[in-house]
Parts: sequence; C-alpha cells; structure tokens
Amino acid sequence: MKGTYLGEFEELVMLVVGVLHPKAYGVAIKKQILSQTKRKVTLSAVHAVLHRLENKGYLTSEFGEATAERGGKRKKYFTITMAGSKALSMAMETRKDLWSQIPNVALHRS
Amino acid sequence: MSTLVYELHWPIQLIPYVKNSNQHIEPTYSTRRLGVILKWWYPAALLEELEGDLNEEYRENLKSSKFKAEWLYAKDSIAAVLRHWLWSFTNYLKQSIMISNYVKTSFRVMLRHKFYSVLNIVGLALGLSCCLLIFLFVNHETSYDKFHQKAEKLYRLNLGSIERGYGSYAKSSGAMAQVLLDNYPEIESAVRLRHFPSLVANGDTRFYEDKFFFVDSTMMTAFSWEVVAGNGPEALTQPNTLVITEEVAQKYFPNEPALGKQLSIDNVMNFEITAIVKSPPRNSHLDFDILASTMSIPTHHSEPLRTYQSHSWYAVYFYTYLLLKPGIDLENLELKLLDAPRLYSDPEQYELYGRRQGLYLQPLLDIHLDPVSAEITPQGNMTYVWIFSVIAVLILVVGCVNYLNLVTARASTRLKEIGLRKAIGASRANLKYQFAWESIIIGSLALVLAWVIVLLGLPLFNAITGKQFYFEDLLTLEFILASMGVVTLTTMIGGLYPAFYLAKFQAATAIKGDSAATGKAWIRKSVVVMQFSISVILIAATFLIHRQTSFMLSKDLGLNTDKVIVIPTRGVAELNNTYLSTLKHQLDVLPTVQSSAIGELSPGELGGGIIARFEGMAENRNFKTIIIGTDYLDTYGIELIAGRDFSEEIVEDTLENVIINETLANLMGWTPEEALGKKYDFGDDGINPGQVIGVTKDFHFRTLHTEIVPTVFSGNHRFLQKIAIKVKGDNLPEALVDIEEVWKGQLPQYPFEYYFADESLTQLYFNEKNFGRIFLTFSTLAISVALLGLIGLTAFFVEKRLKEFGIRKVLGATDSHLFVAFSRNVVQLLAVALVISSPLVIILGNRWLETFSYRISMSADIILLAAIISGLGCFVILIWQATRIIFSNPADVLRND
Repeated sequence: MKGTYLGEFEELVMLVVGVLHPKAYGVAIKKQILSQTKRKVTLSAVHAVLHRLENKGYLTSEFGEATAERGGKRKKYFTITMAGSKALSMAMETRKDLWSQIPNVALHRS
Repeated sequence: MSTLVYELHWPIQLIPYVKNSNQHIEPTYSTRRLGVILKWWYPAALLEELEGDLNEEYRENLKSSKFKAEWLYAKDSIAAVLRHWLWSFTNYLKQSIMISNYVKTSFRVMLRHKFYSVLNIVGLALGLSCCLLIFLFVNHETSYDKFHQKAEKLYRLNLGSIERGYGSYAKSSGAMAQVLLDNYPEIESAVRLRHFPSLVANGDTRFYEDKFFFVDSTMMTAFSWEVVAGNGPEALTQPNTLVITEEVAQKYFPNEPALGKQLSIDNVMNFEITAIVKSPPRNSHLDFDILASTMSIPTHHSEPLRTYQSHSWYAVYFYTYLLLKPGIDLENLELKLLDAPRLYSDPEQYELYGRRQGLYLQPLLDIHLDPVSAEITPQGNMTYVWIFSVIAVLILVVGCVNYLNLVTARASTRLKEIGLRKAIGASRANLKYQFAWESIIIGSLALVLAWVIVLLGLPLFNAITGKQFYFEDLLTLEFILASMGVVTLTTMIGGLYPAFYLAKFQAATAIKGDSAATGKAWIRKSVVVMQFSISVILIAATFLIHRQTSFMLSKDLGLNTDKVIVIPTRGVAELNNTYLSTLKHQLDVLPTVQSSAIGELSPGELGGGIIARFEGMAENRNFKTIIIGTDYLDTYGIELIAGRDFSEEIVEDTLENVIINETLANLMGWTPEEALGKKYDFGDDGINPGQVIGVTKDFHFRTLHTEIVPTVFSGNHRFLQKIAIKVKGDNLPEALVDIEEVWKGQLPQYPFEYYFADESLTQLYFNEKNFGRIFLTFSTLAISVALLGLIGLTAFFVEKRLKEFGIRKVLGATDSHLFVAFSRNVVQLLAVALVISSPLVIILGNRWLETFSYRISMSADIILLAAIISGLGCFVILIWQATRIIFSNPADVLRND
C-alpha cells in the first residue's frame, strides 16, 4: 500500500532506533550509523528523517534528561510505535519473500 | 516517594525535570550567532532537540579541534534550517496539487446544481456587464480634453453677469483676446474661434461645411491636434489659409494629396490648404472639420464679420481660450479680469452695456461636464455621470448579494458535504479553498459571459448613449483592469464570506444538516428588501423621466413647428436678398406651400439680447430679441392677440418697430391693446424710435427647462439666417420637390439644404430622452438581476418546504391555502420595501423635477405603478414556483421519511 512504504535511509534509521532502544536520540543514532555502516550522515538529515517518521506515526518521542555537554538542553528519545514495527517487519517480509524467489543462477551463485 | 519534580508542558505531558544549574556550557562565537538564526528560522517545537544535539556534537568535536567543531556546528545548523524550509516548500507544492481537485469538485458541484449555477452566473454576468458598460461611459465622459498636452494650463473665457458671479456664457468677443494678452502678463497666448458655417467647393464638389471655424494660428500650438501633413504651427499664420481634417481632404480631393490645393469659400474667396490634421478625438469638446485663418477676416465678404463682430468689445461672437503661464496666481488674475471691461472697453459703451459684464475663466478640463450656455456642441452632464456610477454600483451590489444569498441559503444542502469532508480529514483551510475556488470559477465564467454581453450590446449601447464606442475600447488596459477588479471584488464579497462562514461548522452539526445553522434569516430578508427597494426606485424613476419627457414634448408651446421646412441661409447676403426680392413670392404661390418667412432663428435656438428701452422705462435693459420677416408669426403659428404683423411695405417695420409678447406687456403693466403704439428705442440713441405694433400670445421658443422671458420681435433685416416654409396639406415629398425646383431656378450656385423645424426642436430634449433611455435600459437590467435572485431564493424555499407542504396537503390544505402560506413572506418583504423606497422616490424625484421650469407634479401613482410592476414580477415568480408545490404528490415527497 502506498504510504506504508519505507525508504532505504528511513528503514536504516528505524532499525538503529530499535537497536538503541530506549536511548535513541539524534547524536547517538548518527554515531551508531557511522559505526555500523561506515556511512557519514549529517545531523540534520537524521533529524529530518526522524521527524518525518514521527509524522507518519512510525516513531514516537519524548524528552529525556538534560546534560552539561548539551548546554542544558534535553535529549529527545525516539521509540518505535506499533505501526512502525509493522512497517519494518513488512519491509523485511517483502525482502525475504523476494530473496526466496530469486533463482541462484541469477545471483551468480553456484 | 519519588523525588522527581514534575513540570507541566504543552501538549500536556508529565516530564521529569532535572535541575542542572552547574551544567551550563560556555557559548562560543558561532553558537551565539547561529543560535539567533535557528531561533527565528527553525520551528520552536523542534528547537531544543536540535540545539541539544548540536551542542553535544560540538563538545565532542572540540576534542579534535576548535575549528572543526565551529565549522560543523555552523554547517549543521544551516543545513537544518535549509532542510526545514525545503521540506515546507515541497509540502506547499503538494498542497497546491489540491487546486486541480478544487477546480474539479467545483465543476461537479456546479453541474449537479445546474439551475442555481446558471442563475448565479447569469445574474452576476448581467450585473458585471452593466457595470462595464457604465464604466466605459463614465471613463469616456471624464476623459474629455485630457489629451491636450497643455490642458492643465488652458482656460476658456466665459462671460457672466457680475451679480451672479460666474461665467454662464461660453462666448466672448473677438476684441478681448488681444487686449487681455497685452495687459495681463500671466497670459501666454490666446486662441479665438469664430464658428462660421460656410459654403466650400472644389469645382463641382460643393458642400455647406457646418463645422467651419475662423481661428487664430495659436490654435495649432496651444492645443495638441495631430498634424498629418504640413507645418502645424505655421499653418494659419497667413491670410486665406485653411487647415482641414483628413475626412474633409478625402471628400474634396479623393485619392490625391490635398496639401497646397485651393478651396473656394462661399463662391467668392479662394483659400489654400496649408495643413491636414486628424479629426479631433471623440473626447474633445471642440469638434471641427475646417479651420480658416482669422487673418482672412479683414478681407471677408461678410460685412458684419469684418467689422463690429470681430472688433467690438460688446459683440459676443467668438470663443476665446487662454493659455496661462505656469505658476501664476490664478485667483489674482481672475480678480483682475473683472476690471477689464472698465479699464479697456470704450467708456461710453461701458456705461451702456458693460457695468454688469464679468469675465470669468473656466478650466478646459471642466468644460465637458460643466457646460454653460452657447457651447459649440452639446456637452455632458456631471449629474448623469454620478447617477450612472451609482446605478452601476447598485446593480453590482444586487448581483453580489444574490450570489451571497443563494450560496448561504443553499448551505444546508451542502452541509452534509461539508460534514463529510471534515469527517474524512479536510481541514478548515481545505474547505475555505474549496468555496473560494467555487466562487472564483463562477466569477470567471460570469466575467467571460459579461464580456460577451458587452460586446454584443455595444451597438445598442451606442444607440442609447449617442456615443461612439468601438471594440478597441474593450481592449484597453484600463477596461481590462476594471473588469478584473470588479470581478475580484464581486467574488471576494460574494464568495469569501460563504467560504469562511461555511467552513467553520462542526462536522457533527454539519452532517446532521441542522437547519438552524444555515444563516440568519433576517440577513436574507433585509437583502431581499434592499433589492426590492432598489427595483422600485429604478422603476419609479424610469416612469418619472418618461412622463416628464413626454410632457415636454406634447405640451402646447404656443407655436407650431409641424410641417415647417427650414432652409439655412447662414446670413449670406445674396441668399437673403434673393429670398426677399423674388423667392418668397414664388414660394408663397406654390399650391403645396401655405406660407414662408425669413428670420434670425428657428424655434429652439438660443438667440441674443438687444439692449433697448420702452416708453416709461427709467433705464435701458437687455431684451431677448428675435429678428423676423413678414409672415414669420403665421408660418410658426404664433398667435397675435393685438395689433398686426410686420409688412414689407412699411419702412418703419424694417427699422425699429417691434412686436412683443404677452409676458413683456405684463412686465410693463400694459394690456395688449394699451401696448400698441408704445415707443421703443433700440441702442438708446434716440434715432428713429419705433413703436409696438403687435402683441403675441406667450410661446415657448426654447425648451421647457427655461421660463418664458419677455421677448421682442424686431423686423430689422440685419441677422436673417433661416427661411421657414410651412407646407400645406400632408404631401411633404411633393412640397419638397416643388420648393427645390423654385430654389434651383433662382439660386443654382447654392446647394438646396433643409431640415425640419420640429426635429431640431426635439433635438433639444436629446439629453432627457437619452437619460430616459439609459435609465430604462439599466433599470430593466437591475430588475432582471433582482428577479433572478428572487427566482433562486424561492426555488430554494420550495425545495426546503416541499415536505411541509406535502403534510399540509395531506391534512387538507387547498391550493390557494398553499399559495398564501408560501407567498406570505415575500409579500411582506415587498411591503417593507415600498415603505422604504417611497420617500426616497419622492425626495429624489422632486430634486430632478426642480431642474425644469415646466414640470409634472410628483404623484403617488408613479410609486404605485412601480410597486405594481415589481409586485407583478414577484407574483409571476411565486406562481411559477408555487406550481411545483401544488402539483407535487405528497406521496412522493414524504416517501423518504
């Protein structure tokens, strides 16, 4: 269905949010992406995706504690919603399904 | 127990709040700077998270290098702002994709309710087209003479009496211009015009040119006429030179260059064409075909023109225009001009004629809409411009109000749609857009239709107004902007109100179709009352104008212009003398001619006055004087109640003997019989005093705007201008053939030209007739628009009350009961409208009637008639709509519940 579809980066961010649960916030997500996938992303890109996913209802957020290094500003922790987890698993199902249908020959595997 | 402190946040959520007094971070250069940018350009709700994350990263990056930390902070924060705005913009674009949806839905709604849509569009289009036509008219009327580059500095010299304090006469004397130019340094140059219709010929091509003027050479420099050939400023500096328009050039010299050619004037002079100009534009108050140089006057064959008409301060024959220098004290100049007659005219004549003479300046730009007497061509009327502007606004208001009324009234049928839209997630903004788009589309369609109506109605409009508007006038930027402006205004008023009004309903109320939510009834009622009132006023006004005009046209004038043929001689001595010596006798014996006479004026024309004294008067005064020959009174059916007509045999009759009218006799306190033989002295010179030889019954020589004034008929043959021939029997064509034959026999070198006296008299009521016709047209349109609105409204009420009437029927209501129940409201509203409009009609009607000396009285039946007509209109609509109720089957109507 149109709308439940997840972009590649959206999926990645959602997965990382899951990995960091329940302490997923902007900087942590960015670091995690860097360490796990060696991709350098900008903070604003991460924020934009987080807010978009939140608008779609796949993520939810709440303010956490403030720390000294944040200049007294609170962190915003993101968690996956029910709809989000559905969308994630649907994406995985689709991939699995598609993978299973590809004949080995096509992937040059013997 | 928890030690956490809870703080209230919006949206309400409980968030653990941790004190962090000592965790403050030293802001660096970039953070301080960019903090401001972020605060202003980033949504506040997301700001804390972003700032926090940025700070955290900054701290971490500080470990590698300060520069890197600063750079990344700056880059990331700017990137965040840009990203946010890009996102907002794409969102907006996604929103605007909705436009196509709005348009599509609007068309669907319109198609579903074809009846109302057509009503709306036609009503608006009619209103708009009226407005546009009136705009054309008003725009044209107010554009007069603006094309002259020096228009702001040009003034016309008007004469008036000092007691009245303003210039009431457009002409001045030929002697004034030079004297004023010599003595008042404020005046840069002066232009004199002498209207002098002449016989113009090139070989056998021979015409009387009515728009023939003698003008000073400054005519070509002070005004901005478009010269197409020749040297404009030099053109009229020599005697016997002419400037002609392209049309005239084409008439006398078809397909050959006219410049430098000669034209014969009055068969005795030859003038050279030194320049050719375009005809004066439509919005010029001066209209001419041929301009001849005033330098030619000293050798002109007409003796009066050569002598006193051009040189006497008190002979008023010229139009004088003055070009003033920039930056002068106008008020001071006007004051000084009042002294001019005393300072510069002959002292003896000043004592005799000049004591009350005042010289006044009228700005060129004011002439068209504020004309005085003796204008060259009929000019406009500011009152009419105002009245039509008001009508335009009224019609537009009626149109807008219709639209508004229909939309809000029908809101209930659309409430379900609104509710459903809300329920499936349409925001209030969406709904507003939806309604706004509907009104924009209806407005645009109405505009297109209005343009078509204007285009098709243009010839009719030209016929009504007597103006010349062309298709090109519709393509001017002004016109297009005006129509756009009007339609925008209309849709704003008519469309945006419902948009806001309807969008604010709660989804639940809306879906229920709660009729209480469909707007206040009193607004709708007062709107209907307003429309009725406007209609009644317009209908009553139309009747009033029509009655007054026909009253004026049918009133017994005391003279009879019926079947009188007029042949102008224009004062040409050869014609006058031929008539007096031979022509008259030949004409009078024709079997088709009753009588003929020569005179100065034909009825309707504005003559001059002569300063004279009757026996028993202490002082000279100005009497309206008409110069006539024998049989003039007979020919025009003016009745003598005492004495006799002039006779060619009696020498005194052609000198200073006079015939007076009853009003003059009354003024002097004489009975008609007493008046006979009383002494009359013209010019106070005591030479050849004449006497009163006859008294006529009173007659209206001019229009009924003016009262009958004391009038003198003089038999002195100085200003004979027109031959009048009364036809015997009904065979006008035969009479014309006879008369022409006689004319050709005597005067083959002059074209036979004539007009009918009654037609030229009727011409004087042109303004009233015109006004009446325009009023009739626009009031008809206004009423149609109002009735269209009523149709829409009643049709809607029928739909709404169909069930109610079904139940009434089932319970045994008869057809007439139903009709009364249905129409009661409308009749009440009509009654209220009558109460409101009647006093207005009476006040405004009396105001207008006061401009006529002879007028009908304002009577109640005019209002009654207007009421009956508008009532009849409503009645027809009510019956039409009521039949829908009466013929409906209660079973069908009530089945659904």
